[in-house]
Amino acid sequence: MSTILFAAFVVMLVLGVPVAVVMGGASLLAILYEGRYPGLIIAQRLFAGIDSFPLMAIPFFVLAAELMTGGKITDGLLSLASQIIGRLRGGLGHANVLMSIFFSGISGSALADAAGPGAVTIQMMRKAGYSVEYAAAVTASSALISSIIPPSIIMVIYALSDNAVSVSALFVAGIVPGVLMGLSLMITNGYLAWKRDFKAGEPRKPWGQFIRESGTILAALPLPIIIVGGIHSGVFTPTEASAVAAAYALIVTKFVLRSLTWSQLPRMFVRAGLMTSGVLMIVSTASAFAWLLTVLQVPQAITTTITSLGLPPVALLLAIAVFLLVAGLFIDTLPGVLLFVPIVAPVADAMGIHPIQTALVVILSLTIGMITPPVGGVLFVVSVVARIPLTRVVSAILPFLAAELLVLLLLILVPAASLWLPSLFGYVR
Amino acid sequence: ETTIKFGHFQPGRMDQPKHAAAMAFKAYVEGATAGELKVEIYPAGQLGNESTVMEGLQLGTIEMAVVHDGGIAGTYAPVEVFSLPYAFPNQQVAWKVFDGPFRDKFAEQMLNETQIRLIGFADNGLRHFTNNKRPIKAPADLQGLRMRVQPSQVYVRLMESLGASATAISWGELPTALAQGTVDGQENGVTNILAASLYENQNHVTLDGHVYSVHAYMVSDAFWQQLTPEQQQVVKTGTEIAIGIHRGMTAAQDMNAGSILAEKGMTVTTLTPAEVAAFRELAQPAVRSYLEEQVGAELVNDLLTAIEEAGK
Amino acid sequence: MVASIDRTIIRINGWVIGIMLMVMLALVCTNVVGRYFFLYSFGWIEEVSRYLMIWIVFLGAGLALREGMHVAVTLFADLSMELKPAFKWAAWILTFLFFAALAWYGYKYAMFAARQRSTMLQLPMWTIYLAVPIGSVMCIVHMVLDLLNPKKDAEEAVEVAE
Ligand code: NA
Ligand code: NA
Repeated sequence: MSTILFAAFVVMLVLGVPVAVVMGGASLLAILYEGRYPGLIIAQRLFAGIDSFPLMAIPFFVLAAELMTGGKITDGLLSLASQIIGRLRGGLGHANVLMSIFFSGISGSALADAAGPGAVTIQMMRKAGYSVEYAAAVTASSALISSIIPPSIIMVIYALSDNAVSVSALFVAGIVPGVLMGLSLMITNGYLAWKRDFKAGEPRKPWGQFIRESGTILAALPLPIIIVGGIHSGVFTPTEASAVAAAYALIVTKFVLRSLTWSQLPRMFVRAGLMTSGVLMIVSTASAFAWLLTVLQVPQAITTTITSLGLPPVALLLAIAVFLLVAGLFIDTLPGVLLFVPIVAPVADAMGIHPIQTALVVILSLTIGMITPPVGGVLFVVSVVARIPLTRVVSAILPFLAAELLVLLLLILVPAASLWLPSLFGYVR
Repeated sequence: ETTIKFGHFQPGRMDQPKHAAAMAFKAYVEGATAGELKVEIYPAGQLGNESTVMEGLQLGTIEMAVVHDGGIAGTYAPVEVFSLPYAFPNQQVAWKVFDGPFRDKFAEQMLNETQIRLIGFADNGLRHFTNNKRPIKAPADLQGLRMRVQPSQVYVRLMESLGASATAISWGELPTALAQGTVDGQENGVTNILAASLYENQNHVTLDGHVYSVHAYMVSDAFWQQLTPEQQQVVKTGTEIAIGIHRGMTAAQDMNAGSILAEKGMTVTTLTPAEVAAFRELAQPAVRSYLEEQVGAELVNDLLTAIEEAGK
Repeated sequence: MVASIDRTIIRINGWVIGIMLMVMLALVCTNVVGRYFFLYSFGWIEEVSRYLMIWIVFLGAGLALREGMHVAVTLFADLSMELKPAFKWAAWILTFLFFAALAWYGYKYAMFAARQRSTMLQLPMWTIYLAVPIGSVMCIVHMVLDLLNPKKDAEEAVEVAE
């Protein structure tokens, strides 16, 4: 049964079948082949996989980001980033990263960053004389920050897969590593700009003029505070916070800034609904796949093997990260979390590693997989929006990839990088 | 060799009644059949949520499971009858009812309707109110409190009849909701309060024991029919052993509820029978009328008669 | 003719999803406001909004497939121009078979659960489980329509990705 499950998985993946169908189809085939279970169990697993209130944060966060982008607020964030840092050498590269840090506070997904504001920044950098590969590489690597700084869809799903951590604790824990990622990318960009002698960016406008021209962005700034503050103070659950964020985005763009017309609105809701479907179909089919793995006792076997190795905690985390980075070459973040967290989280917990640190290491390892070929969601999106082949983005992205791997190493070696902020908020006992 | 996938919803630790009971079941069954029947334990909901597990039992994809009454209700609504508040005077009576003719008749009807074989009931423990605002001595103290309930109409009615505002929150979200003050309080048995460390954010507990909630040991009938009579007997005996352990551990916690929770730093409020009566007068009629609508007056009467018989 | 049928189906499908998402948003916000300002929240909202999301996911799957919102690994297919159509057809057929099977088993599942009720509103669960087969049928409809009336943009996106 496990042979047919894995064979079907690989064959369909290679043929270019959509990932959701790959996992659902492989599971269905294995169930029918085995004959022990009725076929309708596949429908039950798909349904049960998304029958969850916490998952509802996903459509709402997607919608909030969609409304913010449609309502021109993300354009404003980009001008703010350029205004702050754009005048340096390689300034637009810095602004691109800073913009991603800002955007990550309203968006829960790296894909949304790459496809939305990412497309705009690539255009801007190109016009300013950067090579399109370089622009695409900065955009792709900085887009990952959206999955680490709250809100984060992947963290919502992680918390569902590991009962030892809550969404709110992960949200708080993501802030420091996310900012570190941004800094590491800026340092890399600064170094490359100096080495390759990029020109300096536009001089800074007077702040008064800037605020008159692009004051709209101020409306976006309360959003991250609503999300993190609202959840932490107990005003809302994470799911409710996501709904409030979407409602806030709607009210601000529609009624305060009036940057959205009535005719644009239906399209935004439809797009958010479809993106939700794309994400949750994967969650749904991955849960069927994961169920089969559980029934085949695969996680149990792996857990026993790893535990028997008797690795010290740091070596274990390192091993987990390497394993997930390799897995991330072929598998996306979402199915990665759903398939591997039930396996690695209990092992790490048993070794005395704090569940929040494990979570951040796992999430960052798998998120980095989004910019590693052959299967990297962010890489695909960026190569489509930049209109260049994947391979050209890959070679340009290597230095930025290295920078992010260093941040990952830091998270592994220094527990405080992921635990310090949550402990201030009382999430670490 | 036949494998029994045995699912339950508590953490896979030996201090958890369900897990300890399941491990004993495994040891007994594998030993008594010399390995002919193999038992795989899936703790902590690894096989899916309650409704998935109930469906698994119906389909025969899961051979055996222990599920609490609330998790059974979607598949077999009559189980809600056990949630009639303040119905059982004490544990002895409850056990007599759970093991007596009322249980047998209930199990038979459930088998006919769902193809799930109920082997026996263990305890999920007496349910109590906890909150972080004030001691609850009378229903009036619940007024204006935001209380979490499991997503179930019975518990919504119970809470609202006592004047609290009921918020349905899933078990997984409960610790966070309490830590952050999304709700002021909740109601659960000692086992659950300990399992999820709910005492960390709840200062007050009132040992009112409003509901005597049950855990049902169930076997898929499709699977049951494949077993030889000897194997069926082994599974039955193994379940009885498991239920003994499960009840023993839960009862120990229930009887020492006051000292266990006080040790965790909670202010414990106990009620006199007269004070409990004040709660019963408000809650029981409200829930009873709902239950009569949902599961029929006959079943509710049967239960009350069984309780009366058992109390003699 | 095909083009206009296609447009209508896409439009209706899209509207249904957009409206469901809007209702979900309104419901969840109602409970936040209710709990904080009126100390009252509706227990059924959690249930209804969850089921709306499930309908959105399955009803949206087909349209999302066409709009390129399902991630697929086309790297191997892109290795050889000659083999590419073969990969594309193989993927199409496998996807088709999967949704056809899912439509059938989803229907059987809904019938199996015919007597189950939801916990809060006592809704018959088959009305919610039907999301799986109906969504699968919609996937097939969109896949066939996409063959008859292919979208230009998607083609271009694929070209660029090479
Ligand atoms: Na984010
Ligand atoms: Na960026």
